[in-house]
Amino acid sequence: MTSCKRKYFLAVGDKKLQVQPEVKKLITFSRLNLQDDSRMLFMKGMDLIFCCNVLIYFDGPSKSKVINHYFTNLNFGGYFFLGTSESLLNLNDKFHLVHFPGAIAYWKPSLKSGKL
Amino acid sequence: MFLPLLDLLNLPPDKVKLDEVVKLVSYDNTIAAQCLRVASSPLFGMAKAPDNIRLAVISLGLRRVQTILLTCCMGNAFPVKDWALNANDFWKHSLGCAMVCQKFSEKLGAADSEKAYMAGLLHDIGFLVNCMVFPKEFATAVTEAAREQIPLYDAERTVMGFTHCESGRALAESWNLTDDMVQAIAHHHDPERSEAAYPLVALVHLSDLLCRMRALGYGYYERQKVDLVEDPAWAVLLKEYRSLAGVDLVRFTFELDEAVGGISGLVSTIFGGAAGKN
Repeated sequence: MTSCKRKYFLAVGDKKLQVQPEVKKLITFSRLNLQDDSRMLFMKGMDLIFCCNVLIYFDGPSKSKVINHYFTNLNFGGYFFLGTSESLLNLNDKFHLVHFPGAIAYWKPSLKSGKL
Repeated sequence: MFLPLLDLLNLPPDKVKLDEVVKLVSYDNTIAAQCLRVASSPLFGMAKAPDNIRLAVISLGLRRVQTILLTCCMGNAFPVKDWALNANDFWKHSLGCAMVCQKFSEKLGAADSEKAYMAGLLHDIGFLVNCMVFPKEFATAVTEAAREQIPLYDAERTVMGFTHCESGRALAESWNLTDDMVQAIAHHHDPERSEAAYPLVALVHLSDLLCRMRALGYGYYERQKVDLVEDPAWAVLLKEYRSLAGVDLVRFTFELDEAVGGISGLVSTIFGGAAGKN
C-alpha cells in the first residue's frame, strides 16, 4: 500500500480497502436532485466529484447544465470523475481531460497554472 | 533477413515488388508460419488465416505484410537473455504503441498509417541497446525508476547520463531508417527538440504517453498526470490534421483498453518462447 492509502484506508481482505474510522466520522450523506438548480448553486467548495453512470440517463441540455454546475462548484485544481466509457466530448470544453495511471479524470485547472 | 526487410520498408510503396516480399516471407518457415498466425489475429483483421503465402500477401496488401514481417522479425533480431526490463512488458508496450500510433493516424486520416505503426514499434528500440550494451547501468536505472515511480527516461538520465533515445537514434541511423523515423526514435520524449516538427514524432510521443497511462507501460506504476491536449505535441498534430479536434480521447482510451488482451496474445504468439523466459 502506498503511504497515502495507508494514511486513510485499512486493507480488508485481498483487494479491498476500508476508510479509516477517523475519516468516517467526517462523512455525511444527503440527497440532492441534480436538476434542482437553486440547490445545485449552493454546493460550493468541492475538491472531488464522482458522478458515475448518472448522466447517461439525461438528455443533452440537462447533461450540459449539470456539468456546468459541477465545474462552478469545484475548487480550482479539483477533479471530476465520470463512469467507465462516459465522455464529456461536445458537452463541456472548460474541463481538461487528464490521464493518471489506469484512470481518466476531468480537471478544473488551478488559477496559477494559467490554463483556464 | 532483418536488414533486407528494413531496406524494403524504406522504399516508396510503388517500388516494392510482390515477388520480393513473397520471397522474403518464405525465406524462413518459422517466420512464414508466424506471419500467417499474426495476419489472422484480431489486430490485423483477417478472420481466417490464408493458407498460402502469396494469397496472404495479396489479400493483406504489401505494406501491411511488411509491417507484420517487421513485427515478427523483431523477436528474432533481439533474443532474450537476461534483460533488465521484463521482455513481455517491453514487447507489449512496443506492440501496443504501434497499434495506438496506427489507429490514431487512421483517425486523423493520415496517408501512411503503416509507417506510424512502424514508428510505434521501433520507438523504444534504444532500451534493447541499453539492455545489451550497458546491462548493469541500465538495470540500476530500471530499479530506480520503479522505486521512485518516475519515467524510465528520467532515471536513465540520472543514472547513466544518457537515455534510450540516444542509443535508439544511433541504431536507427546505422540501419539507415528514414529521417522522420530516426527523429521519432530520438525525440519521442522531447518532441519540441526534434529537428523538424514532424507530425510523426508528435504522434509517437502522445501514443507512448497514452500507453503508459493504461495497461501497456513498462510494467511498474509510473506516478504521472498527463494532459494530452495541453501537450505541445498535440498542437503540432492539430496544425497538420484539423480532424484531431474531433477525436474522442475517452473513447479512444477505451478502445485501447479493449485491445490489450489481443496484444498480450500477439506477444505470446510472436515472442512466446523468448519472452516467457524472463
